[in-house]
Amino acid sequence: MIAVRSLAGRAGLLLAAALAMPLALAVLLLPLDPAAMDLGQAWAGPSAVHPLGCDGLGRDIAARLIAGTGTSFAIAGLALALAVGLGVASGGVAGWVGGRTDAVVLRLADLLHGFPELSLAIVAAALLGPGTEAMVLTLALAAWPSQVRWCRALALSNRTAEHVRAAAALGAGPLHTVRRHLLPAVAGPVAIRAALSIGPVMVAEATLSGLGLGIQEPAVSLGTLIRDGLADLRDASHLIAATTITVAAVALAVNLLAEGLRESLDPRRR
Amino acid sequence: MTGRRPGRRGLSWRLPWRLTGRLTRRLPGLVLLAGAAVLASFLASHALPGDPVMLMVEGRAADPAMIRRLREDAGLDQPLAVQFLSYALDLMRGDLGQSLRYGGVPVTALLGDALPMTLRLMAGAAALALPLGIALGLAAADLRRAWPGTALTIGSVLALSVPPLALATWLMLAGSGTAPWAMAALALPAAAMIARLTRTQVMEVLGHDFIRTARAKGLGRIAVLLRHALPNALVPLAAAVGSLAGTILTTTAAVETVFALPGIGRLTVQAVLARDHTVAGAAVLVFVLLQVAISLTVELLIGLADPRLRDDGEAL
Repeated sequence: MIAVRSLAGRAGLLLAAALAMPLALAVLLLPLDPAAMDLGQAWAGPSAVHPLGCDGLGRDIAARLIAGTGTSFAIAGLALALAVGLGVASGGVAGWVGGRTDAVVLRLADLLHGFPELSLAIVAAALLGPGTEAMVLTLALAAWPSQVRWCRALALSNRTAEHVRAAAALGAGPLHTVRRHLLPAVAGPVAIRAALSIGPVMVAEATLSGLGLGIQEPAVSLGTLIRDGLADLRDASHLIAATTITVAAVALAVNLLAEGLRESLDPRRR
Repeated sequence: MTGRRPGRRGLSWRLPWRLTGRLTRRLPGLVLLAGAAVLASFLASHALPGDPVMLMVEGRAADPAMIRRLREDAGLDQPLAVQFLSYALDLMRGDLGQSLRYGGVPVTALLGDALPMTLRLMAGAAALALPLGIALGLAAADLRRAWPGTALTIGSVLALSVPPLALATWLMLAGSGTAPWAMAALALPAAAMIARLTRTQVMEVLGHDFIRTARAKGLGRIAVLLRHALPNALVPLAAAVGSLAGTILTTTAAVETVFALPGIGRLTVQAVLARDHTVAGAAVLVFVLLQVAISLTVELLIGLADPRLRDDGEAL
């Protein structure tokens, strides 16, 4: 693992392992159903069957945290895949072709960058109806402008690079040059950038859904769990404690791993 | 060079002109953004699944004739394009419509009541976060090889990983529900982000030859950082911090919700949850305006430190 070369990466790996062990135990030993209700167990504290206790409807908090983390990862991954795919396509073309195309794409990215996440979330929820699709669209649109600028800058600097000009001088066509010389050169930096975005996108999902502007019941994500915890702050502090600590720990592990990746691949630090 | 003595300090009388020049360059983009924001705000308040009139009469006996009359009064029987034009025209007169939830209350009145709270919260947090973030970032850049540098890096990653709702809840439970704690909940993540950006920019500058020259002529570490590294890092830093505005707004909404502060963020969240579409649509516009205001303010505040802008000398 490259990420382990730096201290931050090692800390991240350690934390990820620390999170994975109870997860593996829970998956192996417990009947995990995030939706199963047992009203007799409402607000139950931690026990052998429910290691983190239950919420107000008697649903197992550990099961809901595991399911919610999965949803949040899936949403962040989907949103980033959209943002990076569109970003590489539009930013790459803008930087490579230049001229008017470049100006239009940049203007569009600037325009979208002017919309804060909150505005995007409200508009997306109004147009698509609140829920998973609106959340993925919001996060993708929010992440797109910086991806475009990054890919454009990479394409621009590669266009005039020696190896690209050499390929052109040897008679390579534009498609061949892009496929064999441009894409491999930008893949690494684009991947690092995407890895660094996973944590912040997950935090954004947790915040927006936690406010009620994102994922809606009965779907479970880290955000909806925070929302449940906030609603029942007085009744059960163990719900909000377990939820917020899990979200923070997961985001921290992801961020540290990404940071470790960036630091070990940064030529200035080798 | 203009032949003036180098190192001359103090505000120039040309400053307002230079600031205006900076703003003028951004004007076309801002006009385009304003247009897009009005369109987005209209879409959020009008093009909806669900009928606002049904929401108005919800729970009351209403005959179809009355529903039709209400719809005509609100202009909802017109095509969307016509509705958009009248929405934009009303907006220019400062009329954002009426709240659906609080029947008859103008949206502008609701926003006007909520805005001072949000601005106070953000100003207090900025006063805390900017100095703290820049100081921590400088320290982290200077000490990057030693353990304090690593600790600061990990600390800033930690602050970025805690969702604002979680941090706000912890601070409220650990401290109290008063305004200073709310400001702290907003300022801490902002300071962490500013610290990271400062560290990156300052480390970039520290690699230059003139830093080595400054060290070679015997300047102390702190003097090199404050007199040479920081001023040269401030301009890119201003742009980078300005781009944090969106995240700061989301955090503000989270803090207001947890601490039950009657600001714009809480008003918006409650409006969305209650399907008060006119207020939610107006909020889309207000958040865009707030984001522009934050990023311009930060750019001006930090940009004032730009010697080309501040000192009497060569024009920009």
